[in-house]
Amino acid sequence: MNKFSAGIGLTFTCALLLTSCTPQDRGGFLGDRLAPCTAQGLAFADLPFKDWPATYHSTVNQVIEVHLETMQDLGRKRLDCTAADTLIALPASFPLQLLAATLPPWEAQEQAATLSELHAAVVLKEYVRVYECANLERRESLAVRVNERENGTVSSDAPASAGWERGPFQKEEDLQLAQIDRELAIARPALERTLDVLGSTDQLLPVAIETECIKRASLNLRNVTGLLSDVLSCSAKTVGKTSLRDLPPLNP
Amino acid sequence: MKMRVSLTAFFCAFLMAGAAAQAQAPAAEGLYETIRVQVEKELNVEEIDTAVTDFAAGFYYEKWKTDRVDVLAAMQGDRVLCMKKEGRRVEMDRVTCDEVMKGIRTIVSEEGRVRTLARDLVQMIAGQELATSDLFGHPLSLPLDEAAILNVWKTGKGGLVTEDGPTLRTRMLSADVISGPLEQLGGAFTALSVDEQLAVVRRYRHGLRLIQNLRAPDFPAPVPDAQSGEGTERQYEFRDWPAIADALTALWDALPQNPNDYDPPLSGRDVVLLEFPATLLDQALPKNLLVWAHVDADPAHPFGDTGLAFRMPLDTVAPSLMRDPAGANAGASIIRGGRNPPPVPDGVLCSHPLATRGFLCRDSADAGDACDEPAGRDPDAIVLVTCEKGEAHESVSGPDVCRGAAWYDSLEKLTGTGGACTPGNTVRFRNTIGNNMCYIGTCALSLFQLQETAGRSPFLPSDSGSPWFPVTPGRIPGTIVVASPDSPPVLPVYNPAQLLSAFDASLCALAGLPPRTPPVRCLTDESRRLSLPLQEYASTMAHFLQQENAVTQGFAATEDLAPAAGREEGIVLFTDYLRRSMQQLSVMITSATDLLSQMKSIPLPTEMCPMNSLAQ
Repeated sequence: MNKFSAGIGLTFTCALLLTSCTPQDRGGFLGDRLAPCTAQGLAFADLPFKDWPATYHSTVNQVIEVHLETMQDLGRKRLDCTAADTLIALPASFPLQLLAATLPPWEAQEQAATLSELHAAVVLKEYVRVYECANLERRESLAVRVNERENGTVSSDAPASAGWERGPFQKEEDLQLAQIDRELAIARPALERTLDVLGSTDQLLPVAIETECIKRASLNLRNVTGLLSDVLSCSAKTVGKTSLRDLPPLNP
Repeated sequence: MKMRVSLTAFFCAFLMAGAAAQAQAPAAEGLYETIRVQVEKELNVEEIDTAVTDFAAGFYYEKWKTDRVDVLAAMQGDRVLCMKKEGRRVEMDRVTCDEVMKGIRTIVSEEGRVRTLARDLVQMIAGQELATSDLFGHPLSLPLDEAAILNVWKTGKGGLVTEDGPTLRTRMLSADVISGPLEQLGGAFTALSVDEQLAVVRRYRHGLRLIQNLRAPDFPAPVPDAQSGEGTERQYEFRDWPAIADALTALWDALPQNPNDYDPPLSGRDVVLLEFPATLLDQALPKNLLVWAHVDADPAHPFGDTGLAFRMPLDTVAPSLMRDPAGANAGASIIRGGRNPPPVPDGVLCSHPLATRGFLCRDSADAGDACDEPAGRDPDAIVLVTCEKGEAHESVSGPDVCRGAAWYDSLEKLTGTGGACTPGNTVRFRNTIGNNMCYIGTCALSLFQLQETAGRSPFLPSDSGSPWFPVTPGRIPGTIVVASPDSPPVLPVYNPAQLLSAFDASLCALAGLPPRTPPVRCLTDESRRLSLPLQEYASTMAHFLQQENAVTQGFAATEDLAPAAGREEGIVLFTDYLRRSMQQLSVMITSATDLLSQMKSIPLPTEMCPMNSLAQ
């Protein structure tokens, strides 16, 4: 009977969820916790500049791929169908959690705990904003940064007073400037176009979660009605008896 | 049952247009990486499609013998094509050279723009329709999920019961049966170039048997039109690919086509949507390729087919610029224009089992009156979903919820008489909520009304032996059943003019002006700075330039948002429709919850009948 009750409860909850299958409003999710527009304190600050693009694009790609897999495997996912909020019905994937943990809005434990896979687009948009900020900041202070002799163009063993010859310095600055301009031109359009392609699937994901919950509730209901059918097959009418009770065996 | 038809109808509205967009680009290293490469390529003017380069070279070849190198050089501003080359052409004069170089740059730019636009359109459609796909393998397949729910609920013998159109069910294929044909297909596909792969998926997107005219007369093959032959912009529209066709044929032959291969056997208009094991697809096919298959009960298989699709629609077949090298009249000749896009052939969109049940594929009279009950229905029958609003039904024999429905597969009668609940009779039915409820209702009816199992034991001689029967003629208690409140699904309101008006208003809002028609009138008045000049002439002049940039950037940003805004509008329509139609299911689930919850309060005997009680 407990299973029966649980099935009914789940069914009823899903019925209630049906009334709210509008995509969630995620507009105010970030609140006032946006990161300052600088690379300081972010993952990029500790990376060699030449590794920024590969790190950024591979991270985004991984989050998107796992996000797609999550949607495709929705039928096999553990869903909290009785949750009051669809947002927490589908926990965030591991790559998404890792990425969010590097961003100020989700650094706090309580924010990370409420992270859902439905936040993937929001996290990625914050990530590209941070990436753009890091590149813009780099561009503003490029001459100083290049002098820090990143990228191995000057031996780290060279004395600090050695400085740069004008030729290599300018060449390195041009290379880094080209990388910055290229990334600023590509990063956001590529992400936005990707999110556009995923637009309806992302926005209908809450509906898909609720539909999946209804599917599971329907299966529970089918089991319940199947059990009732079994009970009815034992009814006195069906088995040709006048009483449902079995008489105790007669003593020989 | 009408609700079931209508539920799928709206999905089909998307699928109609979506099928036309099923020519898509492969994603080599994931969705984001593929798009990033595309964006990078579009921004890089030095990277030009080979077809565009060859077309530009071919355009001037007859007179100036231009080649691919000349075009690439011209795009870099190099005047190498103007110089005389041994045996090929005379030297151009400066004016002619400038004209040719300008012409090449224009051709490359315009053709590149057309290709980018086509790609953008496909991706916009994908952004709208991927969630409403009817194919296994796409990120979300809401229509299939809805069909699954309805199959769990339905009353009947086969799949999803409808008054018209096929009945659907799904089945996972066994890997050992289809692995060979799938590997054959994967090998043939990967042997093609990227452009050929796009053409192949477009060619077989509606199924191989359809274009071979094997599904006629229900679904005849599309007829080639005069503008889609060899040497036209649409030359790949009707081109066959023998290696791919052989693989799809082998796949079709390997599918379980005998109705008895399924449990229960296929009958009537049953159609099975076959699902391929994901691991097998990953092993045998390129990452972005999907294969689909349907089998039906009819020996002619009007709905039976195999076809191709892409997981992620990112590219499409661009209008051909060069003649097909595999054609009979192959050569380096260019194709000087044509008409695009090609028209959608009549009937092909409705050849898909799920789409054919949509309102776009049915008679308008039927679609316009979703609540029209089919003729001949027993007026006393009560179905789980009906179009009558809150109507009470009464039958002489009680609430026989399934009298008009063939809810069981077989009934083996022990004595040749009786029904499902007659002692000794065996009834077999599919395990669905509807069928279980039919059995429960039928047996409960006979148990509580016609068989007085509780014993006729009045406490007093004057008491009635059957107190549940009415003393006076009238309604028999328990025979009244109120059907679920019904609100027939209606198509959501779609006002394109209103949408465009709102968009125009947003353009005007960018300039801080009220809506004007046409919105170009909302352009900022460039002369406004003259009435409020800045302190220095130079600053005023600089502001003239900046204010133009501010307006154009705002307009460009808004235009970029247009696809997303359109998609948002589509999703609102979809969820609005879903909310209305799912309301019925919600009411049913709530009613079932109430009914079944009350059963918890029934004290059941601890000793039930043993299974062999009849033998005793």
